[in-house]
Amino acid sequence: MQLAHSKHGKYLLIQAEGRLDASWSDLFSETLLKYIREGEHQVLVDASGLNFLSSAGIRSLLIVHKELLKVGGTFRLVRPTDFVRDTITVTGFGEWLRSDFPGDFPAESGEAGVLAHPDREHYVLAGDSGLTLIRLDKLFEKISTSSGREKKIAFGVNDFGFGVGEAFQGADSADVSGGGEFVAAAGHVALQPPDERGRPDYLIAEKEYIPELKCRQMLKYSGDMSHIFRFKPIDESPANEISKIIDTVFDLTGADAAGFVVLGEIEGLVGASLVHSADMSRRDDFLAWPDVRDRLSFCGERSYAHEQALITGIAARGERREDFTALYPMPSRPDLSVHIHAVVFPYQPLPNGRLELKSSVSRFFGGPPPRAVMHLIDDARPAIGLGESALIRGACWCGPVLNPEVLL
Amino acid sequence: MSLIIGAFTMGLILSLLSLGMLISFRMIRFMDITVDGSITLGASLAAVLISAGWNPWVATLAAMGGGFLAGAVTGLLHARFKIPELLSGILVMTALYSVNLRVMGRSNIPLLDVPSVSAAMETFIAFMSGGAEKINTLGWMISSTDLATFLTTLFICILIGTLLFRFLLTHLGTALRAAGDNAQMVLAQGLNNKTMIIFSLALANGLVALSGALLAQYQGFADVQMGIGMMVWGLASIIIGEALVGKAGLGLAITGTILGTILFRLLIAIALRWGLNPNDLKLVTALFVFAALVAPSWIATLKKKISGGSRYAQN
Amino acid sequence: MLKINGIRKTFLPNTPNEVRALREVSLHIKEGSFTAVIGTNGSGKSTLLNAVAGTFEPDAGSIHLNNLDITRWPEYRRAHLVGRVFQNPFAGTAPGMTIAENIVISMHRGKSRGLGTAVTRSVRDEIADRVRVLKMGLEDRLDNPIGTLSGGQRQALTLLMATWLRPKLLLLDEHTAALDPKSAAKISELTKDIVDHEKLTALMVTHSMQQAVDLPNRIIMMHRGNIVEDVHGDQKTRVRVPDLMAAFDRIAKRDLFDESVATLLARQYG
Ligand SMILES: Nc1ncnc2c1ncn2[C@@H]1O[C@H](COP(=O)(O)OP(=O)(O)OP(=O)(O)O)[C@@H](O)[C@H]1O
Ligand SMILES: [Mg+2]
Repeated sequence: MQLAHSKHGKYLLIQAEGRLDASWSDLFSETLLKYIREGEHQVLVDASGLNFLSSAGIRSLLIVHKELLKVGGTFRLVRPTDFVRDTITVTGFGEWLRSDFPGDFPAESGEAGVLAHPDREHYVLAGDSGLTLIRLDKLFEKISTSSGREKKIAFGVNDFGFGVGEAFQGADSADVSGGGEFVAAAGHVALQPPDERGRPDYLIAEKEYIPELKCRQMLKYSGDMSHIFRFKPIDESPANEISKIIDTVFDLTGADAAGFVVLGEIEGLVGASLVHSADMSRRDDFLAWPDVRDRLSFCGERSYAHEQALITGIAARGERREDFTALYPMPSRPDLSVHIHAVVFPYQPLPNGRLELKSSVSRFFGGPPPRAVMHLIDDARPAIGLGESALIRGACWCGPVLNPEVLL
Repeated sequence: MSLIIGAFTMGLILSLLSLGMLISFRMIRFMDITVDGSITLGASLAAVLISAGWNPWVATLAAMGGGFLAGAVTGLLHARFKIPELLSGILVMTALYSVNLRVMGRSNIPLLDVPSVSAAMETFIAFMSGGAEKINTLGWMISSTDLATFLTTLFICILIGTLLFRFLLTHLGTALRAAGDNAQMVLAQGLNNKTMIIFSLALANGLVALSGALLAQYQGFADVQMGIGMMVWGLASIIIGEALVGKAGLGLAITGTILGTILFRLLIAIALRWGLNPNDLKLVTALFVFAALVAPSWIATLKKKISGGSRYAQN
Repeated sequence: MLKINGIRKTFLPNTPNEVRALREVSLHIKEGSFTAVIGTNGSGKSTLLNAVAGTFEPDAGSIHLNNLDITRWPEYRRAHLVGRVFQNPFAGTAPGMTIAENIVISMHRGKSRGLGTAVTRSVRDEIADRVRVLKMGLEDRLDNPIGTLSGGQRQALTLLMATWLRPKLLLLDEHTAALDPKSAAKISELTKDIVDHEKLTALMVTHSMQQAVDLPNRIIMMHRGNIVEDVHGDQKTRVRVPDLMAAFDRIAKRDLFDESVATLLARQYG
């Protein structure tokens, strides 16, 4: 089988020639899934050269169809040969058989082999809204009674953030080990219970239920996001580093401090995660070499390439501000102070355009379970540094932080 | 004709040496050089004891015991003191040279006018034939002493061969063979493979010494030099035996070794008759063993070349 | 049952090539439990098994089996209590001897071996019956040298031999690693059958995470001569291949965590 593609307006036209059978079906679906990943969600297959279609071939068409359904795309077979049309009709999959091109298919012939990259697009959501920053930090405080350490915090639909805590188990629950790292976004919480060793758990707001965590440390920003923008690989540089995304956040919001949520395909994440939190009473002891190796785990390499990340973070630019105590300067970009956490999910396609934040987060939490929760670190060590985390493509919601942080 | 019967008798006697080496070389795969010393030990012990008036059978058994001990010492040096196998053998062989001189008190003991293990057979034959000098055996005229020696040796050989065969099929014998085949497996099966090695070498050298004791009685003397090169002889015999009957099966291995030794002895007798200088005998033997060791791989390459050539011819 | 207390083993001590293969390893194994040992290459798994089997004496520490202190017992004596199957399918059988002879040797593991005939008719029948269970057609080939069999067949026989007389402890060192996938699966299944049926106490080194999840009821993980994970009980019931992979991942990450990382994190963590 031969596959060729060309771009016609918003449509990607695939020229398929030869047999679509068991020996070619994997190649066919893999190729098309790759285009879908790259954001081509309007796909037409020119089947005029397709002289055979087996059940394995139909299955591969279905795989592509289902993937496009997830992102609200279209998938059509155009100009099928008689054999292909009969096969599809007889087997009952006729609904996506269209013998002619859609009305908005451009008349002039497309540019063969070139995939178009629309410019970085952005939308204004609610221009005047802003985020409130709330911080709880009992992590490194020595408090004699352990009950005084945690605070119960609810994470509703308009709350975003991260911290260390554990799922609330009712008022009379026994004393706890100290909890694990969590990331919260739009009524969804992913958390890594320390004793579970690499199997994050998650909580989702539904009906009356709002996830509540007993937190020892947390940074939460609440309110409506003001902007959303989409990012893609631009020409030579396939990666959108976190700092690049943050620059755009500041461009759009015009603020000096902003909160953001990113959903996107990972190029590589660099960060650490909490393994043991029980002995977090003094920051310096906790981070002291070599025992820190038993408490924190550092990724050691750029990880989770081509999976999806849900990232929540706060960033401030300019001079380090006293009212944002939980932000740390990025070694490679001293003008930016940030605190960013991420949850990693197995890959799922993301629709194009202006996405709604809550439903997009729900989409991720509704799929296969999260794989990891981590604190993103800018690794600027000379020579051996892993650099900063980067994404390939995705969406970023952001909003200005209006008031100084509120300490709980 | 006495030449042929002599070669046969000699072959039978030496086949006991080969059987001993079959155990050390083939069964437990131990390059045992003790052989050169222990065959002399057997000869000298038998000679001294028989001269001292012992019953030849008892003297022969005692000689066998001496070889048994010598083998055990080699095994001990290797297994307990971790001395490489060749060196263990060389040490014991060297030591045995002095031991043998001590045993004999000089370098050579003649055995003239003393009874040998074939004495009983001689009496029996004399009784049967009415004391004739020469006896018609299957049409050949053979001296009655030669015939008696031949028959006695044949009897001993068959007896030892059968006993060895039965022994190797017992639990102990099976374990012994396994120890040579796969030491790791033997350990994992709860067998002390060091003990197995010591025991096997003792057994092997016991047979070698038996061979030496019979040899001394047959030749009529024991000499401190008589062991030199015996190991290579035994090896040559084993190789010929394997060529004759193959390696499949214990019974075949034992029979083959006996037949191989006899055949080798016959070949030598014929070669000597044709004028081979006896001084060259050991060189010829060594060359023969060398050829037997390298021939298999030569033949394999040769075969490959031939079949390779024919493939080109087809194209 | 098996109590390993603080054993240490250093190979080539006081040389540049010194390897601390076991550093204070302690492990207690209950009667009737089946434990898998996993870990990176060179982490000391085989060394641990060899210490129990008696290939060498540990530099320090003690090993008790069945309430006997076997620390100073020679290898062959421990074999009276311990059955072993090696990674190399050729290591456990004597190739030049017949199937029946090999098995007879194992039928007398730890017993005295006299001058009785080894393979008698009744013994042959007994062997044929047990070998038939393997469904490899070997019962008809009892007089063939074992060297003529395939690796999988030899490994099946080795397993049979190691367990013929119920051992107090069965040691399996990657015993399916050198086999083709089909034979490996078969041996794996056979192992489970035998261990379950005979209620054996077993210690199995494996690189197959699936095998570690499927067969045993406890998993220990070794790294650089230490036991770094011990999964048993409820935890073992729910552990899956990805959890074990994650454990390897954690260890790899910990190795990469050096002082410069600690400094890096100290600047950005809170
Ligand atoms: N006899 C020996 N002499 C020297 N070093 C040895 C010896 N045996 C093992 N080692 C070393 O000890 C360490 C542990 O080896 P061991 O065989 O126990 O590892 P393992 O966990 O079984 O690895 P693998 O998964 O590769 O089998 C290795 O570094 C190895 O090189
Ligand atoms: Mg190993």
